[in-house]
Amino acid sequence: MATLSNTDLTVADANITTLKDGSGNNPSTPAEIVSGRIKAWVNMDGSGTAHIDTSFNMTSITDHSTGVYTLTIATDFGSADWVAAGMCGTDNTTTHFLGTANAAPAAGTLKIQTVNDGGGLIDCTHIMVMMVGDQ
Amino acid sequence: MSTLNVTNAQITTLKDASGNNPTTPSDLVKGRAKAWINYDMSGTAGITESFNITSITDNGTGDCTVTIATDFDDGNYCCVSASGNNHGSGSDGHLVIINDDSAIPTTTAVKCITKNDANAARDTDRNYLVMFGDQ
Repeated sequence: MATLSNTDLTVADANITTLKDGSGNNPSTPAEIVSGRIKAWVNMDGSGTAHIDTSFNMTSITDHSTGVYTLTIATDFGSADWVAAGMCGTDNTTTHFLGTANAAPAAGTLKIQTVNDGGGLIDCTHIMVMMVGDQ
Repeated sequence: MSTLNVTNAQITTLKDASGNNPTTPSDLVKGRAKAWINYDMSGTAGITESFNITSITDNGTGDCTVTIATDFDDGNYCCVSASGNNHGSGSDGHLVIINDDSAIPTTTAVKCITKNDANAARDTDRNYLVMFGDQ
């Protein structure tokens, strides 16, 4: 096995078995990176005219009704079987919960709902969702 | 520009061809999800899709143990989650919470409970859990 030493290496495609730091620590395989990295995330405001504050790999959100939204992903997942997690809240002391709404996720969309601690749908000002899975 | 084929790449900073989007191997190791699972608690509980997960054990209504394949270094890792049903009323919120049993989470497993907004355990059909931490 050869050792390549270069301060700045520019290459179009690097086929690497294991990526490590300069000391040989912090190993990651390409498979771990692909499976483990976040494929999409969104920070959105569901109040008033619902809108995305900042996002990665998201196309848009659709505001269906109070507390119910569909998130549309730019580069779809390979199937509908992926994972999302998140949190939500407003600028007060009420507890809020984020969950999937009454629709099956698809490769390119996820319907979510935000609920208060009384079980009622509510528009939260802060909704944060991240998504992982196979694309 | 050619393709680089290498078994072990020791890199201080990984960038794109324009020298932008820098990531260190430490960033990758710390920031990538170490395990995730999409599981269904309705009927016979089962894994829909997962990464670095060995199995889930159905402990009762809304109660399951998720077992990790490659363990964490200790029990102090981070889990984020979401949950919901593809049926039921529109305001029926669900939440995956980490069981407060003092024996868990361990390096190998985490126990989760799904409840509705009335604090009753529920066998929800879409449960998402993502884990970050040191392995």
